[in-house]
Amino acid sequence: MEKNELKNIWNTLAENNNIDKQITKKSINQIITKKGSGLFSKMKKKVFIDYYIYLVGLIVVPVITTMVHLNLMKPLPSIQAYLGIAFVEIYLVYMFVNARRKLNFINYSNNNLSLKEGLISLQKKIKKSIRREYKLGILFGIGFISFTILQLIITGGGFTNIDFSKFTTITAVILIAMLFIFPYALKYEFKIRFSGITDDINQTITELNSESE
Amino acid sequence: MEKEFTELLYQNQGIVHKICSLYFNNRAEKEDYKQELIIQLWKAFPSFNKQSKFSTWMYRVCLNAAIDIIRKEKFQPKFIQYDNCNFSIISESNNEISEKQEKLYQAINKLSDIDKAIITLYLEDFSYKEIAEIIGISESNTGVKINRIKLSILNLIENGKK
Repeated sequence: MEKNELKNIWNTLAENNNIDKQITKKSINQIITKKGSGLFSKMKKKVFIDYYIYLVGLIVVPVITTMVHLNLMKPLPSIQAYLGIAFVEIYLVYMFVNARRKLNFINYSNNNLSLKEGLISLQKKIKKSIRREYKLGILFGIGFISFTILQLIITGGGFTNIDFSKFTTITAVILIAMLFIFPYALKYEFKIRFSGITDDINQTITELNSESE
Repeated sequence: MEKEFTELLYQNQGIVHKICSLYFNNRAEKEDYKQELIIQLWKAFPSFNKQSKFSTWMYRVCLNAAIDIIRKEKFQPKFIQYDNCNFSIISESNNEISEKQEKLYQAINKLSDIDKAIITLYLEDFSYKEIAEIIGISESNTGVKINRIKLSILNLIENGKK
């Protein structure tokens, strides 16, 4: 295949796409001054709203729970209430961390580097983001499971009155088992969720590093 | 700075069109992608040190930004909205484009993101040294890769496989 043949198509493509689509100086100016019309700006607005909704939710739920505790001066009426709150919190934590990761990525730019350096930089960024998300997941997950276990034991009559025929004790035992399983389960979930993008980048970097293809 | 950027971009806007056509031709929000590339160029403009040509710098930033957008979308897939995956340049109104040219164009579009970038720079008459700098690989590797990509394109046209 001759270079000219390829070049012909390339030029035809460029000409086709330029017809009636010239960007005027005025529109260039509008794009760079408004900054709100770009694709990532649109994404950013949406993610920003999500981010703050989850952040507020994350703070409000435990605050309300604590206030109820203080006002009633006794635990919540049922185990289900604790479990419900714990699940809501876990969900909020997950969504909050997700929104935070999205924001970090949207803001991140490596445009002045070479393509290979840019990919290596993005790879590091992704790894860092995954590690941070994992640590947060572990922290909040284990925190809430522990909190729920503690509440279950207190509701069941405290450490001195542990009775394995009680529902609360059985649930607490299951949750204790979950404490040990949780890090591995989360790691597995992360592996499934991120392997596509990380493998893709790793493969591209390996290809670029290879000198003898 | 704004005026200087606007003038330079206006003169070299073909690069934005070409990169968009190559990387985002099958996307619904093609104009949004163009705007995004322009915003990325504007953000990076203070780092343009005038040691290289503006067009060379622009290619580097646009290619980086385009590949960056694709990777970010893969990482955050809920934002992607594809029109369809089959696209054509014949439908873009030019009857003079032959079937062979159409096949060639589709073959280029089937290449990986990096290979697309390499072949684009090659077709824009960048030297091996310049391509090597923009991509971040050695000059000899650039030559090897260009030959391999050309072979891939040929295979894609003849057999539909790389």
